[in-house]
Amino acid sequence: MKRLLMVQFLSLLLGWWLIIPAHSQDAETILSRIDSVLNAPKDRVMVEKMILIDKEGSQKIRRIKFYQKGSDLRLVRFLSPAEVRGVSFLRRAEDRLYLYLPAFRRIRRIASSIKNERFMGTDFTYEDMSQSEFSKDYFAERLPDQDGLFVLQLTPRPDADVSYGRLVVYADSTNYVYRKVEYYDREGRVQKELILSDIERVDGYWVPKTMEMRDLSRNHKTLLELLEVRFDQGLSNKFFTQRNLKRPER
Amino acid sequence: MLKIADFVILRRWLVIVAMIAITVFMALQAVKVSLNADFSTYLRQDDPLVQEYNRIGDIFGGNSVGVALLASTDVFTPENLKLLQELTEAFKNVEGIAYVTSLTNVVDFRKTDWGLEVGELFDGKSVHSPEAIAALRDYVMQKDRYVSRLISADGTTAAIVLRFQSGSVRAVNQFATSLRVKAAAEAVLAQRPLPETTRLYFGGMPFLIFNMTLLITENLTVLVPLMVLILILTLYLGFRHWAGVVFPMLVVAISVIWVVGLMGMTGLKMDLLTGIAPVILLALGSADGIHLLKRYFERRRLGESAREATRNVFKEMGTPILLTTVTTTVGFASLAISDFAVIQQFGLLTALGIVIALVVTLTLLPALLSFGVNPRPQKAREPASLRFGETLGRFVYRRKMALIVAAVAVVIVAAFALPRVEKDVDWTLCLQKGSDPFHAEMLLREKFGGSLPIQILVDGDLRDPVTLKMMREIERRIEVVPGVSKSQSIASIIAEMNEVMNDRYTVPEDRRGVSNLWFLIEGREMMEQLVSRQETEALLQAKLNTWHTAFLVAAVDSIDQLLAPYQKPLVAISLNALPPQAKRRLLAIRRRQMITDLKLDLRRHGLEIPAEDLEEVVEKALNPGAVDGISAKLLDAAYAYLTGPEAEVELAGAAARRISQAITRSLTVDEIPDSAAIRDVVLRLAPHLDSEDAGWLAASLTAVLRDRLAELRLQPALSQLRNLLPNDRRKNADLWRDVKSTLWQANETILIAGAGQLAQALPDVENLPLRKVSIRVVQSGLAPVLNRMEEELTPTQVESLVITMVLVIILLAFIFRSFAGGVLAVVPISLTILINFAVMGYLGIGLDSFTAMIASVAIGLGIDTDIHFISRLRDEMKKSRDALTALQRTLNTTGISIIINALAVGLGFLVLLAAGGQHIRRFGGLTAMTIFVSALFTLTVLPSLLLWIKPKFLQQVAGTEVEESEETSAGLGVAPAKS
Repeated sequence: MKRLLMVQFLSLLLGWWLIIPAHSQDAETILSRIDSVLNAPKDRVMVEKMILIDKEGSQKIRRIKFYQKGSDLRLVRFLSPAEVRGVSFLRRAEDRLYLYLPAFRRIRRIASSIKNERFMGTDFTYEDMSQSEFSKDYFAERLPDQDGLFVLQLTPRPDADVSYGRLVVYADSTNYVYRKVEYYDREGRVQKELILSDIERVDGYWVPKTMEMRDLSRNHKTLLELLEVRFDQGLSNKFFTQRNLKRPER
Repeated sequence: MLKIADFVILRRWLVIVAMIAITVFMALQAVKVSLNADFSTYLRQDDPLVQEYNRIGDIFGGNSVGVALLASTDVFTPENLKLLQELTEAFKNVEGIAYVTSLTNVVDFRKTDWGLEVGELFDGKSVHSPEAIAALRDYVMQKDRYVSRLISADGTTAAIVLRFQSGSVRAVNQFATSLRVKAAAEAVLAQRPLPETTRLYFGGMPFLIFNMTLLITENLTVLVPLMVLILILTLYLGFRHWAGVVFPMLVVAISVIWVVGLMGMTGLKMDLLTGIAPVILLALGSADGIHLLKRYFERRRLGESAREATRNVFKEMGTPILLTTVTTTVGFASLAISDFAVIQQFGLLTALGIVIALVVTLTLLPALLSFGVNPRPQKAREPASLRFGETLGRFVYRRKMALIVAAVAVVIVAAFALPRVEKDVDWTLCLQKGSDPFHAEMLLREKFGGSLPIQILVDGDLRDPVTLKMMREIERRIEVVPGVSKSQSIASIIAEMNEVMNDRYTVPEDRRGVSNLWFLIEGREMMEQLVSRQETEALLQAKLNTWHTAFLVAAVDSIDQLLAPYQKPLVAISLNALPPQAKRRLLAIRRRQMITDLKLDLRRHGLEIPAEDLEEVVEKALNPGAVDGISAKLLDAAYAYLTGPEAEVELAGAAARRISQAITRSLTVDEIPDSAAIRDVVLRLAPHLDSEDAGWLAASLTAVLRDRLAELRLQPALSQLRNLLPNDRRKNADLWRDVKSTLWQANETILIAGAGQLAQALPDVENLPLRKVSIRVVQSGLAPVLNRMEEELTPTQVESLVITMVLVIILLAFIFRSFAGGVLAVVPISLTILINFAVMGYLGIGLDSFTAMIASVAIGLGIDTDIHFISRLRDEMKKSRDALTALQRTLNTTGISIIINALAVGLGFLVLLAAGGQHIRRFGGLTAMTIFVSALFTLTVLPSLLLWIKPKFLQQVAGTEVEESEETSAGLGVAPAKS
């Protein structure tokens, strides 16, 4: 009986929590939910088509394979074109980023001072590539909702090693998947925007099928189209090492 | 002519009102005229060179480079660095500027403990502390890519390189862009004033033109009014009558307004040369008015009514005036044959101005004169002018042979100077010495290798190492051309990255290596300036340390010669795939290539080493023999790799040691480790590894050992070369980098050579595994454009002069009905032009677009005077059998007009000696001289020749005109002379 009551109480509590109107949630809570949705799978393996589009509209197409475990470990491998096949990027922790150039069989570590440099001609910086949890680096402040989306303004925490002045994140108020991020520099000018679309549920996880990063000052954009995705494949931590970085994609 | 005069006199009010109305209308149109200061538009736009220049501008975001210079006692202070950063940022936002590069935003390839790092050199936040600034300075000053490009070698001047948008698609007004750049700088300086010892200058082609344009505008607004004042004063002193001033000036003013108005109506722009057209018109347009008025006053003094005098003057002078106009117009219109758009425009507009001046002279002047302008009453005593005519006439008459001999002597002396006239323009002379723009050019010349960009367009597969290696070779070769330095291209960027990563300033031998490095810089602004979007064309750039066109022509020619071998088919051949004998033969080619390259490396650094010593060094690089401690060094390399974090598998220290020892024990300097053999060793000594892991590990270990071995193989050659170098140069990093990259060829397995050269070395070359490589290399950019301008300039001038002279002779021969008359009439002008060029030769004044104009002005003015003089002399000869009297009368009438005209215009041009730009000063001085000399020859040499040769057209006896002659003589106060 006591146990039943407990269950009823918990259900009530949960129900109450679930029916809390979205607008009454505070910004930090929303942000941590966005982070948890983002990092919900234990691991993921994705194959993506990367299209670089310059201001004249000309395109460069590449294929990459993306591995992620938890929120920290990431490995990106270029599959094509042949000339860059094998070029790989590894993130072991926020400040431990590596790049492998197969032609020289050399791994180079990326210094934190160049985290704001563009990653391999894309509109993503090394910092963007390594970003996994907004709440670690940013304070959140709630702005008025727009079209059913939460709007959060993120300002860097004092100790955060980030190069942006602030971010504005738009997230779906029903599933906490973020739809758009605006990146502002320290002078308050909007530099880039990331738009996520075609969001679908695959194996219980929300996945955007298309991501588009636009560099507004260069009038250049990078489009990522999801070709394959697999979740919870049991990737080991050893997969995300320098040794493995050098090994070719099997 | 009389009919025109009658028509005008009858409707004189209509003519005056129409003239005022048209002039007001044209004045309103004239204000629409804008400036064109873009040099590339000065050539005809259908010229293939100009089209290529514009195309390059379109592909690479612009090809015109300006530089903002921050000069101080030391650039490396927090204030100066901050200022540099803020100016760089401010210039980025200026409309018309495609790219901005300075120390604060340049892409840097830095070697760190973690390998190659690609990023921006300068992080504004981290350079406040003295330690950080000192570290930055030390780092920057040892980077060849920054020194003399973005920072002077002494650290006192920093450059912000501004690439101006240009080309046919994105062409912008560079003058307006320069203004905006300066405004942006002022906005920054308003917030952050210049530190006390810091100055900001602007240099390079766009600013050079900007400043030249400003200077010319300044000259026009200040000096032209002064010229006008002098003209007015001289005219007044000559005529002592208001009409003598007002009428000639009216003709000039109206024709200038009409010409500029027509430019406004047709959308033509004022450029550097057209800017001086009003000054030329001032000189040419006033002449007829002066002659006309002089004759009018003569007639009025004879008691003719205003109407009569006007009619008669036009009857007498209409033909000479028409004739002078036609000849002068032909002279200027002949400039239309030029390929120089700017010369064409100048010639045609000036010709148009002269025609307009004729129209005004033939319409407005008779209309106004018919109202009656009374001449100053004749003074009782004989005026000085009459004494002048008599004295000079007598002198010429008696000393005609002496004068002719003197003229011949002048011709001989002048002829010696002609070869000394150089086709040379120093564009910086257009700037005022000591001014900021002049200082900027000098700073650029002395500290940054100049500001004139050399551009070479390379068309080919840019990711192909062969293409890039050829580009590197071209870079190294053009830097040996005098004045050329600081070459840069995608090839040197790749080589620099390779140096940071692998310690050798070379292009990697395989395509993947190039692509991997390329990947690190892809999408950067820097790349847009070096490589076309489709990656099929690359721009190789260098700097030329001069604005002297003669020097520039030599450099452009040398570069063209250097590029010639690259137009022929090239082949790349893998040495490892060849039978030993073929390989040996090809190594002989490599040996020669290396010796040549090494020589060039040393010459670039101002060093000369005997050829046999260099041959030995190269031989040592190709066949190093024994290298001390090679096994131990390779062992260390293998062990370090196997125990490091990058090794594909984790091995215990002991296993790693055993494997390292086993692999390196048997290695020699000539033996390249084999990946399969190493894998076997690894599997034997670490049997727990799976075969695939061992294979990957072995492949990496092979690469590490090959790399290390290649380094070690070069050590003996490098040591030997070090001993050949002077002590103070042994540690020169740039020199070392260059020679090492040359010697590195000994390690490379691909040989690139001309197809012909290869066929010579190997008769059966077609059967060998070779790869044909096609690249197209063309010199482009501003230097060849300027070169073309130089090429065009003299032929155009010579052709124009010849055409004009021939036409003038034909015309005069027709008018005078005497070929001799035509030829004689051009003698004074020819002498004048000869003297002008002789003076230029003796004073070392180069032939430029301004000084080249002087001959045209000399013809224009000289023909006027000559025709007026001969016409009058012929009239006087008709009236009097006596040649001396006729000459004296001519000198007293037309002669005086010629002197008044020459003084008025010549003194006016002398005002230009006070101009800011040295080229305008030269132009003013030389033009004044030719005007004086021309008048002198017309009044002395021409009559001497006429009196000596006695051409038929002057010897007509006109008994019926004696009466009139007496009248005239009475009016002029000259008594018939006794012969």
